[in-house]
Amino acid sequence: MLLPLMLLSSPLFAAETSWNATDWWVWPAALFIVSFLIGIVGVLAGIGGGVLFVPIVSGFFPFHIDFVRGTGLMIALGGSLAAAPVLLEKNLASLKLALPATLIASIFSIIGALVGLWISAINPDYIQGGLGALILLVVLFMLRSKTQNYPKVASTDSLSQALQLNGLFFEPTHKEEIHWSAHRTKRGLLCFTAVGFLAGLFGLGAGWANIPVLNLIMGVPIKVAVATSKFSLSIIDTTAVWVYINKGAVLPLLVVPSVVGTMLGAKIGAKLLPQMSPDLIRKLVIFVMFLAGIRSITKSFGI
Amino acid sequence: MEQIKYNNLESQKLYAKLLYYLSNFGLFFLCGSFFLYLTGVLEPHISFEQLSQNWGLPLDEFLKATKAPTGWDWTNHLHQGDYLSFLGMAILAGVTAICYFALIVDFIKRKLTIFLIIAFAEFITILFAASNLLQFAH
Repeated sequence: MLLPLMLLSSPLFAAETSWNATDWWVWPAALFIVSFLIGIVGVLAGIGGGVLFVPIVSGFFPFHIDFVRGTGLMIALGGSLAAAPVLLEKNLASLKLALPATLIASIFSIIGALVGLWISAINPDYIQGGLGALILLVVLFMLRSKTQNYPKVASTDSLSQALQLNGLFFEPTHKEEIHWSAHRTKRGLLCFTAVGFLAGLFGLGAGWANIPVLNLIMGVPIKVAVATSKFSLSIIDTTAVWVYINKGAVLPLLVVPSVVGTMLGAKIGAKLLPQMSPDLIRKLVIFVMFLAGIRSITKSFGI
Repeated sequence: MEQIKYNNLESQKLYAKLLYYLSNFGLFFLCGSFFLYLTGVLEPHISFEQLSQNWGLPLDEFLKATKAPTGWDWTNHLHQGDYLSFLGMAILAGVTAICYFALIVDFIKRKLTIFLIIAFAEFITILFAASNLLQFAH
């Protein structure tokens, strides 16, 4: 995925081809292809498009990182809006769980988006470098974290009871109804301040952070955590996207090929999923993210 | 340990249905308007050549170079291809607010006070973000 981009973005290529503005269509076309591949890989690896899209596109495409972050948020929003109705219908995503978590994350995503655009106006390399460091942290996180299918929740706390953070869903593999409830609510909700802030700051979907918070901290079954995370992005990213829209930091020529590309790729990925080794795909994604993170850091140093 | 009454909110089904229709409409509109933009049926505010020469600039410089509108000024350019597509993006970004409005009405009917307060606070947060009232002090 990265090799053709490295060639396209290299100074050698630029010098050889003497870039012409009338060839503008090359980059949106390349963006569509890369987004399509990200869509496939994202589904296979169980991650959202934004966390792959922003470091890869900001590292290897000529677009300024402000526009890439705005597009990244639109991708996460589009993917989430498309998936959420089915997840809610099947009771895998929980509205009760999403309501308080997304309220906190939304407020902080606005702050993150404003701070991100402010820092970027001072020096975009700070954002590019910070993004690279965060992506490497996510890589480390993906290597080390172990999710739990059905975490044990011995007792719920008073906040969880007040917010009625519980629910049920049908598990087809066991052919039974699973009941769940959340605990460590204060700690979990506190984590959503950071989740929202980072989503707005870097234009990432933040599903990579939502899932461990819901599953490992709040004790929500992994299926509910994944589905609620996906649904939550439609709310958290909405507020951050409005900041980028109002500032003029979203360009249709970047957004539409990216959103359509990732959505088509996700459909193909979903069909390929049963035939692929999830472990191999996961390792591949971790490797690609590692390269993209390193590229973001080197780019921030002007290399 | 208190006996938990496990359930999902009934309003979840309403939210899912509304989200499905609105987001499909938004995506359809975005793709349709983008087709008009890309094929040149509607002239863009910023030509493709000008856009490609400036998309590597920081936001402030890009806005100066292209005279692109900010805030809600884009609504004055809906006759131009790029800003009609902008409307498609705004529809997608507005879907959640509409769903939350429906939730608020439903929560009032069902007298679910705690959820009503949270949903109302989220609705205001989205409107606040969309209003462009929030500016970071430079």
